[in-house]
Amino acid sequence: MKSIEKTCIVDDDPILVYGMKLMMKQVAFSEEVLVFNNGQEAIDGLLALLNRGEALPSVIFLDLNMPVMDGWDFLETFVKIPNNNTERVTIYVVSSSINPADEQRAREYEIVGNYFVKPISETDLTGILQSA
Amino acid sequence: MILNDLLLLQAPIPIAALDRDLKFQGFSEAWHSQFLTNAQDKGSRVAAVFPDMPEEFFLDLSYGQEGLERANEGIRHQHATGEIAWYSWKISPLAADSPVPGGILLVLEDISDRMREHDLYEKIERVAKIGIWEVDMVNNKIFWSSYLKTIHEVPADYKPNLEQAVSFYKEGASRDLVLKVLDENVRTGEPWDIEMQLITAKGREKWVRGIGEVEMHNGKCIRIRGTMQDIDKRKKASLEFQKVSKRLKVAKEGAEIGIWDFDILKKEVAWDARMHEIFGIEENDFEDIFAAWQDALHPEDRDGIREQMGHDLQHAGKFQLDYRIIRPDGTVRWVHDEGNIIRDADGRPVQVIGAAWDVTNAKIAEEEMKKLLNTTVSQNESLLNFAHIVSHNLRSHATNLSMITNFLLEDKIAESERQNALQMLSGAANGLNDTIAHLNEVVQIKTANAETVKPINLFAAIRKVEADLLALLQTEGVRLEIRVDKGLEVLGIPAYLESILLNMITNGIKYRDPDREPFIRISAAAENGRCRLEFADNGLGIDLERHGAKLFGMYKTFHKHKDSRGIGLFITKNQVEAMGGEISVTSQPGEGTTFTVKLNTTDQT
Repeated sequence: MKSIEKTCIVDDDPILVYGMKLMMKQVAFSEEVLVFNNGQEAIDGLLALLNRGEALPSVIFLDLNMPVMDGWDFLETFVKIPNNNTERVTIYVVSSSINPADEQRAREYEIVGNYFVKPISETDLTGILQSA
Repeated sequence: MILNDLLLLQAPIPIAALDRDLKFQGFSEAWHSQFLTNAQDKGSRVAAVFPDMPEEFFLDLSYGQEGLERANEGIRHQHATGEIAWYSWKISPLAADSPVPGGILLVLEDISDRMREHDLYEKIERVAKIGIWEVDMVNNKIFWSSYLKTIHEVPADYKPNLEQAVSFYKEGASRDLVLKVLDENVRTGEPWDIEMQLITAKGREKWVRGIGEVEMHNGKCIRIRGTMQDIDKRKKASLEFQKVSKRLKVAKEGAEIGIWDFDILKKEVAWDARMHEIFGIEENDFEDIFAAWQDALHPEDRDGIREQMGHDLQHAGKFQLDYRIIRPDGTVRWVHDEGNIIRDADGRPVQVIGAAWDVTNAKIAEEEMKKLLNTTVSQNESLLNFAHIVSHNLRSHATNLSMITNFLLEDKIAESERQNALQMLSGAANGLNDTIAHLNEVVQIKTANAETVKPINLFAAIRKVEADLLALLQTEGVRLEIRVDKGLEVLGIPAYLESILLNMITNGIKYRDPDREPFIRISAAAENGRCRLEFADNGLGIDLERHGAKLFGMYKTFHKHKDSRGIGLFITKNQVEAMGGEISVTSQPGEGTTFTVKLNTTDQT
């Protein structure tokens, strides 16, 4: 099992971010973890990466309910970034919402690899590593 | 002359003596005057003097020659000239010892005049459907004319008696009436004119009109006579009409329907009493009902009605309208009006007959129902929204709690990290607590009812909140302008109004633009029984295209601000709606935001 080079977490909940980072460390998930507090920060940060000529993270964990720009608006904006930059990116939605409509809506995006109801577990993370 | 000795020839009737060869031997004076003959006709044969007579007459004469008596009471004969005449005759053979042995005594009468009268009278009976009867009380004899027999459907040779005559009347009211008349009027001599039913010999029921009079002699009734007219068709039609109009009247009154009739050519309108009641107009108050009707129409509906009526009059067979009227006492009522358009041969409308009724209650019920439906839909939506929020927010804190506790239990956290993890745990617990407090706040908003709402002076309420927030306003340097009429009152729940004002003002402070001198302007105006309350600021503004749909949702925040909780506008909206109000927003990012709150006022109509 090989670690992922770069991972990104987009979530406004510091406790969840703390927990995820801890779990990633346990399973040696990723060499680098970027954290953004909402969709807007994430878009800005990711575009900055591209501008510096750096690669996008290959895994993005995305929360849905966030201030300023929520997960849906992030998805809408992100899919507009030109293909050759995003084709190696998989987005995993991580939400507290157990509303089936939300899961269905998320899966309609080709870029979305899976939908996880919080909390995400170590098993979920190793599963992602194996499929990568 | 021996013949003149025949006494009979002295009689004042047309009489002649014939010999056995039917030659005239003698005449009475009356004969000459009736048939314009004279004494010179003596010796002439009957057939020579009267060539144009019915065959039966000559036949009977030949019987007379044989010594037989013959008589005819009247026979119709058409002369060669086309003239119609009736004759009656009596032929009596004379004795062998008479002055004209073997001769004949002939009585011949031209009864045309009498018969014509009789004929006419029978015709009248038939045409007028009137039969005639007479009862001779002295001899207890009864006479029915032929048409009376037709009415009773008995044969022409029917011989009635009084008891039978009465038995033709239908048992019950009709027969009782006849018996009463026979009893009372025969005693008093009063004439009568009554309508009753009889049952004919063929078992048919028939309405007849009986008119009768009494002939008295020495205080005693000696004769009654009268007419009976067949009025069956007319009476049945009239009864049917009465039945139908009674039904119509009951239906019309039950449904409180007013009837009107508009003569288009004369521009004249006729209203029944109910129409006047609907419009609250006294009968005779207006000579020109059409003008009164137009005046009563609600000004907002007037043009629409005129347009539709004009269109329907040209193109339709009928029209249906719902419109408002203002009655003289100022009350507004809804009227449903339907009319049938009658056209002349060229298709031009000449008359409209219509019915109208008050549908105010139905309209009110409809409005209430729509309102109720809207409330139910919006309450259902907020309930669903609430359920998702509860699930989402409670879950996120709960999962954080379980995640951190698991880390701690499974000893996955380095000693140096422990303190940090405990702080996270405490944060998650506090978050759960806050969420429950918010949800509690939301649950407590209840729809206002007549007992909980009261008139609130808006200006005073704003000043109170301003005083509470004075320190904050001064610290943040926000200018609060209040442009509200001091007398304006709204109808609501004081605690909700205070919460709304507090939230609107703190929002304005929170999202001020740091690059501008911030202000919040509160203005209010009464408008159609409602109060339009505006909160305008020159703050950061909101991108409504992006966030408009979610603005009033729970836990939605659009700015990075340390105090953004995403709960204020959600609660505000619920409180406004709980008081029967509405909230809306307009905004430009970088320019400012205006929230408009519409509330009920005390002078609602």
